[in-house]
Amino acid sequence: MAEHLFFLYFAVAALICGVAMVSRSNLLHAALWMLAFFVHMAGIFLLLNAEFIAALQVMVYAGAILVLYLFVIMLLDVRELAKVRQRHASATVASLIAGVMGAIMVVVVARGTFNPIHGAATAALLASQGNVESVAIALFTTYLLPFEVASLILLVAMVGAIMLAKRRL
Amino acid sequence: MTTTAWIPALPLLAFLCNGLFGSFYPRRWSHRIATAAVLAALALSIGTVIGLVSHSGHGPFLYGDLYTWIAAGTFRVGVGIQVDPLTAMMLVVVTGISSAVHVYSTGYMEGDPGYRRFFTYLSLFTFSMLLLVLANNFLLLYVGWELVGVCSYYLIGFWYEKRSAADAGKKAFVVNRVGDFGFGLGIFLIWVTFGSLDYHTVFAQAHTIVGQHIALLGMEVPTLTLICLLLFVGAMGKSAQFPLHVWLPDAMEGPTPVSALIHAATMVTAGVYMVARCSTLFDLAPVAADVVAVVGGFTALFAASIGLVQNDIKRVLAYSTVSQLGYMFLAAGLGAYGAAAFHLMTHAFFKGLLFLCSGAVIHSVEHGFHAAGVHADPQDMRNMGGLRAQMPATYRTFVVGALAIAGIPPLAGFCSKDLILERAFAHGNALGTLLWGVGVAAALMTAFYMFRLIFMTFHGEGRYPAEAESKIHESPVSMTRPLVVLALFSCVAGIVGWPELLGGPSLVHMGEGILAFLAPAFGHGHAAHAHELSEAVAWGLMGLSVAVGVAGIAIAYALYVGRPERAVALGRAFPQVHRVLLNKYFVDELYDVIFVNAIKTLARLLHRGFDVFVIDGIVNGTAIIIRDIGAGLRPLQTGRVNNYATVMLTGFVVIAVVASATWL
Amino acid sequence: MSGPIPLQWPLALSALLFTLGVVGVLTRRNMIQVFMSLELMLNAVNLNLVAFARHSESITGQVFVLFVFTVAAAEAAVGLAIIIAFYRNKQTLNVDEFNLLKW
Repeated sequence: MAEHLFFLYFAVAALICGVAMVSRSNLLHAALWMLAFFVHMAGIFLLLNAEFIAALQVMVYAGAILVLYLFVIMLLDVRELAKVRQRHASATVASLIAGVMGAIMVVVVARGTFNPIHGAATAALLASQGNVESVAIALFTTYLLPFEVASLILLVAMVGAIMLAKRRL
Repeated sequence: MTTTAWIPALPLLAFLCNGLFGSFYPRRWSHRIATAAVLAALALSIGTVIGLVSHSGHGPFLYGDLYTWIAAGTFRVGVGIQVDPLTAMMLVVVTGISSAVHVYSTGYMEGDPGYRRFFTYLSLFTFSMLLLVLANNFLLLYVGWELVGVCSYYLIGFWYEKRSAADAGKKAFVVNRVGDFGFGLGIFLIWVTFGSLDYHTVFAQAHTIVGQHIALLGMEVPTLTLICLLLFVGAMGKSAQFPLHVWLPDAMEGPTPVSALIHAATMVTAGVYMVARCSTLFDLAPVAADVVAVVGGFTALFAASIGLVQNDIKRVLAYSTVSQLGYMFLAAGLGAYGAAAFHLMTHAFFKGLLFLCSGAVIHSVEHGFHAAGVHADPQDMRNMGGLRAQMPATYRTFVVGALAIAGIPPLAGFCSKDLILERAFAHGNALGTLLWGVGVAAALMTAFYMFRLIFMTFHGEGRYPAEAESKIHESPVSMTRPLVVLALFSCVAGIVGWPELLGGPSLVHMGEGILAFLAPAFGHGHAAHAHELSEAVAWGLMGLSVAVGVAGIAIAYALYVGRPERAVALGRAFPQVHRVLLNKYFVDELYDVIFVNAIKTLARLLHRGFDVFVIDGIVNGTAIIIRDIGAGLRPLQTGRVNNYATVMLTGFVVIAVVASATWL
Repeated sequence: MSGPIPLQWPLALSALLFTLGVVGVLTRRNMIQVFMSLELMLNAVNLNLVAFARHSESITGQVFVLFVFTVAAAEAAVGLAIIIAFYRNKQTLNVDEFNLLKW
């Protein structure tokens, strides 16, 4: 019961944070709303038996990515950024279409029936073994190659970001 | 067979070498390569003739395909060669004259910026003509035929910066196309009729289609006659017979060695060669043969009469060539193919000589005028006179050539021309006698205008400014030496066909002579009709033709050396006649009115009416429609990433709506 | 309201967050905010993956979220670098200036 209440809280809060993040004109405010959003998402992950993901969510998103955003915002001229007129002429149309899309998704989810699927990683196993260990086993056995590829992606991204951002090499 | 194949291959290799790699070595190498190739081809050709003579001119002749060129269903054409006495003779004539022209050109073209290009073209020209005479089927003949036409276009328009030269090249090409169209149709008809283009097959089956008819424009036309007439249309174009003769005098715009090559050895003789080659067909189509003879006779007289009054030294020779070709067709049409081929050969030597001589004269006069700063046409005989003193070697060889063409014994022209006249007279019927009369008249004119040319050019007083006189001098050795060689041949070439009346070829140790040598190459149907002339008549004919030649020379002497003012007075006495002749019977003007203007009008009509309105309308209309549609759709392309993303999302949503509507 | 959280809840939340992200991407003119909205969408996807991982009793979904993190981090780094380069050239972050697609 408490679980459900927590979920509802996190969900509503995350939605509010998201709306605020998208709608703020001040980039710093938007970034701070994004931080709140990330934290609430981490809470939802906790509720869904994904403790490791929740921790990473805080560390990677709230810790690394958000800081990156803040750095960029501060590197650039905030007053200059504020001059950007925020809304498009076509914004209403775009919002409408996006709304239709969201409605379809929600309707599909609400009307759909989801038969229970039974697999190896039951809640009991995760509880006994620990979420981190379960993820680690999968990551370093079955998904070892994608894992290495992911590291390569990060390397490439790093090189690319330096290449792009540096004035002169 | 491979040895023979080298004869055309050598000039071809020289052409490729000079054409592709000519810029990599010094220019004098280009004439060395070209001349060496054609001299080697000459040696091989002479070897071929000797080989045939040792078989007494009787078979088996070389005949076969080097390889199959086209094999499409039943249509099968090979690249093949045939060497019979006619081909062998042509080989020697072509390579011989070509060699002389090559050597001569090294002097004549010296210093010309297009020197290398010139020798490249000469090699290609020689190759084309050799291919033409060596071919063993009509298609390969046609290839050579067209190549010769293309080369003539290149060479006549060699000095393409000169407007008149470029125009003359185009004119030659277009007029030749008219003839080639007929020739092409003839070849199509041969294929349709015989199912083959090989000489052997066609000639062997020719007698089987005698009497066969073909429907043409609602009329029944004898197939063989139609084939022969169509082939002859091609020959008319290539050999400059009336009414397709108009290109040849204009071809004088090319460098003079080219004129010599075109007029003496290659190109114009192709038509005569082709008619002689198809003698079997023409023998079986007497109507077509008569047409050939009549056109030839008419052209002989027609062109000779124009030659009487021309003042351009090369134009006189050009009309002389047209006239002499008329002689050859006259003979061929009457079935005397041997006589036609014989005249072709002797004519090649003395006409080549005359052209090269005139080239030497023009070359010297031009340089003399240039050095003296005189602006005058170096080809106009009215600006010459008295050149005998400055150019003795050219003068002497020129006289030899003129005597030869005038038919003065014992020079080459006498033997062949007399033979043609005798055969015409011996033909028996009214046509033969008429053509004989035409031939005699043309011979008189020929002798007259040739010596008119000599007297105006080399005798009398110089009609040019005095300061140019010391600047005009004899041509270099490279130019005079070929003249001497050709003059020698103009003297002696006749002995291979020495008249029977004077003891025949055996008298001068020439065996059975050229007629017997050539005979196996021709059909045997037509000439048999000719009956033998009594000895008295033959002597009379010979005497008459010689007398006519002498008379022509005498009249020319009387008019242009004795009393030059009389020539002018004569022209004044008959102003209309003089004007018509000077303007070449207004044939060019007539063509301008009938064909050129009509086609121009039609073209303008098509241009204005059809091209601009319909074609351009369609093209521009398409563009305008596309442009307007584009202009209408352009606002969709805002260039804003958001908008593109929105459109993308819209598409996705539409798909999602459709998908979920079926699923829900 | 007993038992575990039904699958539909996180899925619906995910749908709403994703829609929010789309709206942000489509309507914002500031490039940085467009990128932030992208992060929102990625998070919505992550939520989906985690929800289904629990529903199907499989750890694979969570592993995938790790990879999405990787890509998100790379995207953020490269994207922000592009933003800096762009700002240096145009002195603005208005997406409308990204109009090289139309010349």
